[in-house]
Amino acid sequence: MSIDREATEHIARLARIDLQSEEIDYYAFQLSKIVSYIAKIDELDLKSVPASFSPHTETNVYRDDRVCEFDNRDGLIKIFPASQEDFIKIPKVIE
Amino acid sequence: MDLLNLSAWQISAKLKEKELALSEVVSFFRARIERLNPRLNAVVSLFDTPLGPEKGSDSNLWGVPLLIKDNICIKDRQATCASKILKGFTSPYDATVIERIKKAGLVILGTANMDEFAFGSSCENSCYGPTRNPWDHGRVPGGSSGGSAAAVAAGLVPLALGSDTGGSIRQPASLCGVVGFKPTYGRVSRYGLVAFGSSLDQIGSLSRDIADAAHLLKILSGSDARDSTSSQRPVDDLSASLRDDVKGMKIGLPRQYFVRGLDEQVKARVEEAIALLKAKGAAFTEIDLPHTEYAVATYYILASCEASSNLSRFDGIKYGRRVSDKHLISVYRKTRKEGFGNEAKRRIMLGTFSLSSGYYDAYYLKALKVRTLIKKDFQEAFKKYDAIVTPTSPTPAFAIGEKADDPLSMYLSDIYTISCNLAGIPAVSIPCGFTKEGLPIGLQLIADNFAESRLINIAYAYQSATDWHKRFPKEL
Repeated sequence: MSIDREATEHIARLARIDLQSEEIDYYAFQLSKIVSYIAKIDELDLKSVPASFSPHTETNVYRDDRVCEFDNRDGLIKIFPASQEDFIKIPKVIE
Repeated sequence: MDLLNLSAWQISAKLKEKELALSEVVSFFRARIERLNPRLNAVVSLFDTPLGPEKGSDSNLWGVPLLIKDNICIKDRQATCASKILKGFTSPYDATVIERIKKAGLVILGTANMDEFAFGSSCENSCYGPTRNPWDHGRVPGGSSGGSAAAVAAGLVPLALGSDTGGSIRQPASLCGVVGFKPTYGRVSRYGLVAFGSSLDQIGSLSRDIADAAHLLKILSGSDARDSTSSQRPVDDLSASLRDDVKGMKIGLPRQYFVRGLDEQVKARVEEAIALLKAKGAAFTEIDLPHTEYAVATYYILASCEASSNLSRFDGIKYGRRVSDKHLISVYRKTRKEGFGNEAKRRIMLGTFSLSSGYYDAYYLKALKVRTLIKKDFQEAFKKYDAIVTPTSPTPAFAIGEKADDPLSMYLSDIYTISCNLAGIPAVSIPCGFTKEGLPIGLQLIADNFAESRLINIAYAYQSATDWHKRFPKEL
């Protein structure tokens, strides 16, 4: 399957990655090659095969919903890309 | 005392017997890092003050220095995953494996280089530049745990931690001539490991010999309430398996792994290793793992899908690098454009494509079904056989830059290791010789879920009769 410029731009938009014009062709070429290879799995008859989301049997693991303190609040604040006092500063979400 | 030729557990024993001083051990390895790392580039960060040993700590590896792959969180230290998008990120907490290592009294000297976000098989995709293979500086050490493997191979440290999602411990171990152990999925907690493929990732060890791997695995293993995929199953007494006895063991040789594309010298060394184990009483039979040829395709769909989801958190908002802009979406797009390297972008886009509307069923869902078939292949094999033996990598170490422009060729170098991650089963690579050019070759041992003891047993028997794991590269 070929991934053209338009498809690559769409994928990059979904992935939230800006690409320069020459990068679009670069990734389109490589993605086409890889996607053509991974289509190999179409050779198999998978109609009655169940999906495995995990290597082992999947069961939900529950725990009590208890509130606890995280012991390194300062460590979290320190890594904010931008901050004001103890608040994280982020771009406006609602325009 | 010749520290270089002591195993990690021997260093610890001598420390406890006071034949060695802790300061002597730490200085020795720090000095080797300072001298050799400028050429090898295996170590990303050498801590000014090593961490540990903690007061009250104890284990068979107490006092032993090690390096930690740069994608495992150490409190108040940088964990950058060799990516520009995390440069400067200081972890606010310790990964579970780090807590366990500290309680066991090991000494963390610093962090090891890797492919960015563990995407790679060569350690060339790092924002810090490539690591060089200590056996030939013009060649790759393998990846993504290339820094960890190279550091152990060159004697910068006796031990290192790595992570393995599709072979990222075992393949560099093979290319660098050291032991690389990937435990069963769920054996070691992933809490604090920066996620790549959450259904595939496992933390494991790089060491010179299997005894060190067994001791370190025992320290790392066990259930963890903070990782809901971690197993509740008790951890075996792994050191009890350090026995030179494989009599009567039934071992499978998958036909599909000994085909065109396998380097002749790799094949020859692996066949010699098989002959040695046969002479020790193991019985080998050709078997089929019929869906092997679909493993790489399946893996690259599933791993990329999981990666695209896991890496969506790197958006410039909460931590890491932020490229400012007036508009929120532009912050995401510009931050990720500048922060991620080419391979990271490629895998994210491949995963995004495979999960996108119109393609989810054709790629992601189908790949999950092929995963079931690959798991069943191993389940069938382990009904009759105690273990499976294969080469770890189809070739010895390749040249730096050789596969940089051909990602598909790079992906195919994982062909022998990938299936174990899809099935969740444990596997170890042990050195089994060299090419005539002096490049290491690895033998892969694979066992059923939670049968790490069996792998340790076979590896120990092999290493009792060989000295590949005791060799060091010339200091070029």
